[in-house]
Amino acid sequence: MATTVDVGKKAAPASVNPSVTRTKPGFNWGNAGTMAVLAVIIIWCLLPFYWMLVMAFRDNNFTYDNTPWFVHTTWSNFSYAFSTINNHFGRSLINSLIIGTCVTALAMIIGVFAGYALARLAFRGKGLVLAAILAASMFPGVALLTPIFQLFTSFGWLGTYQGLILPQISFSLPLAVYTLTSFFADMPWELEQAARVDGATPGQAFRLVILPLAAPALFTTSILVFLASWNEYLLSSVLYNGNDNVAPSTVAIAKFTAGPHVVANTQTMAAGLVVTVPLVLVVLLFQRRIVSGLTAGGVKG
Amino acid sequence: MSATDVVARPTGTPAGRPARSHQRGPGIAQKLLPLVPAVVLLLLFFAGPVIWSLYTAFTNEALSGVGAGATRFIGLGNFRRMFSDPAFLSSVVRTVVFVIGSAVIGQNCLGLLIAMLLRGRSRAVQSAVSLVVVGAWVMPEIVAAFCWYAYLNRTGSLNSWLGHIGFHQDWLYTAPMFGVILANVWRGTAFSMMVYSAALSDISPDVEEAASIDGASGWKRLWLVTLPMIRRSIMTNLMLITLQTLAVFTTIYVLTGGGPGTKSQTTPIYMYEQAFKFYNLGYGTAMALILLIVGALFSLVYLRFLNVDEK
Repeated sequence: MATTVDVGKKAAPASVNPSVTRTKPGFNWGNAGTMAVLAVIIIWCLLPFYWMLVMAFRDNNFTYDNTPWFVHTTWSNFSYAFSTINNHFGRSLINSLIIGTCVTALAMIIGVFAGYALARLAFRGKGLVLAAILAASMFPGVALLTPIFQLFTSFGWLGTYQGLILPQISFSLPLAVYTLTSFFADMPWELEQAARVDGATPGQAFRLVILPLAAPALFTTSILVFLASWNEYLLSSVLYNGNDNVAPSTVAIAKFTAGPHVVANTQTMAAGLVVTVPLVLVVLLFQRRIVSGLTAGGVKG
Repeated sequence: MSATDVVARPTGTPAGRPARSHQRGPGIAQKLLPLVPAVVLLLLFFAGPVIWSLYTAFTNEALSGVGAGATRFIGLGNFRRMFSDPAFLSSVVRTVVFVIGSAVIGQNCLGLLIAMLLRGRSRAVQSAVSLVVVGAWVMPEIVAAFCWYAYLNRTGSLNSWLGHIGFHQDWLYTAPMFGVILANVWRGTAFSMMVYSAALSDISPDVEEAASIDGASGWKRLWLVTLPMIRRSIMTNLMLITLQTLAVFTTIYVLTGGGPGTKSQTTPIYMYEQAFKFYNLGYGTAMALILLIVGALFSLVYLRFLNVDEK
C-alpha cells in the first residue's frame, strides 16, 4: 500500500520535500496513489460544504432543484435570514456572541487558576485525576440535560442568559483545565522561582512571569472554548425555553425549518453559511494553533 | 511540543517540576485555593446534575400523567421497565452499532489513514488536507447535520446525482444507520487525524528504516512496528471518540429523528423523546444514568489499558 511504502522516506531531509520526489524522473506510482486517495478524501470532505454554498444562493422556489452548480442564484435567502419579521436570526447571532464571550472569559479565568494549581501540585493519583477530567469533558451532555432542566426550572432560570451560560462553563471547564494543565506543566518553573528569589510575591510571579509565557496557550484554549460554545445546540435548545431574546444562533437556525428532519431549505443553508464562515476563517488563521492545542489537550470540543 | 506524550500524559508523572519545591512556599490549603471556583462550578452543574439524576431515576417524575401530580419513589421501577422495554433494548444495540461503525471503524481508521498519507508530504499538502478535514469538524453540528440532510434525503443532491447514473437510493430511508454513521464520520474524523498525525511525527524514522532493512514489508512494518509504537495514542483516541460518539444527538436527530420508525433511534434519541416529548422525566433520567454508567465503564476499560502499558 502506498501509505507504508513511503514511510521510510522521511529519514533524509531532502526527500521530505515531495516536490523533489514528484519531479524525479521515473513516475512514482506509490506517490500518485497517495495523492489520489488524498484527493478523494478532500472531495468527500468538501462536497457537503459546496452543496451548502450552492443551496444558500439558490432561489427558495428551487429548493428541490438538484443541479449541482450555481443556478437561480439570489441573495434573497440572506435577506430572509436577517429580516426581523420572520425570525430572530440577527438577534441570535448577538446572543451567541454574548454567551460565547461570557463562557470563554469565565471558563478561562477559572480554568487558569485550576490548571495552574493542578500543574504545580504533586500528589499520588494525579494522573488519574487528569484522566478523569479528560473523560469528564467527553461526558454525554444529553444525559445531564434532564437534571439541569429540572434544576433550572426550580431556579426559574429557564430562558435566561445565566441559564444558558453557567452549564456551558461547567461543560467546557474540564477541557480548558486539562489543556491548560498540560501547558502549565511544560513551563520552566525555574523562572518563577527566580522571580520569587528576587522578591516577587507568588501572585506577582504568576502575573508577571507565568501568564505572559502562557499567553499563546491561553489564546488557543480560548479559541477552543469559544468554538464549543458557538456550536453548542442541544443544551441551549432545551434551556432557552422558547425565549427568542436569549436563543443562540444554533437554536435559531434549527427553527428555520418546520422542525428537525424536514427538508433543509435554502434559507437554512444561508443562515448556516453565515454561522460557519467565521469559523472557517478562524480555522484558516489559527489552524496550527487549534491542532496543537487539541493534540496537547488530547480533547475534542 | 511533542503531542504523543502530552496526549498520554494523564498517566505519566508531572513533568518539569523540581521535586523539592513543594516543601517550600505556601501551605497546601493555599495551593488548593485556586481550584475552588472550578470545583464549585463542576459540583453545581456537573456533579450536581449527576447526583440529582441518581435520585430522579428512582422516581416516577413526569410532567404529565400520574407522575406529574405526586412524584414518588418507585425504587427500581424505571430500570425494570427499561430492561423489559424492547424499544430501549434495541436502542442500545443501535448505539453500539453507531459507536463501532462511526467511531471505532470510521473515524479511527480514516483518521489513521489520512495521518499516514500525510506523513512526509509537503507543508502545502498537509495544510490543505487538514484545513478541509478540520473545517468539517469545526462546523456547528446542527449546520453540518442540515447540510448532510440536504445531501442525503430523498430529493437530496446525492440521491439525484446518483440517480443520473441509475443508482437512485433514499439513503435515509433504506439505510438510515449508514446515513447517520457517514455524516458522523465526516464530522469527527479530524480529531483522530490530528491525534495520529502528532503521534506519528514522534516516531523516529530510523526505527522504520531499520525494520525495512531487516526485510519487513510495508504491511508488516505497519503492524509490527508503527502501530505498536503509537498504541497509547490509539487507546487514548479510542476512549475519547467512543465517549464522544456515545453522546451524539444532534446529527441523528436532524438527519432522521431516529426514524424511519425507530430504525436509527439510538439511546440518546430515545431518552430525549421520553423526557422531553412524553415528559417522562424519571424514566428519561434513568436512561441517562445508564448512558453515564456505560460511558464511565468505557473510560475505565481504556484507563486500565493505559495503566497496564505504564508498567
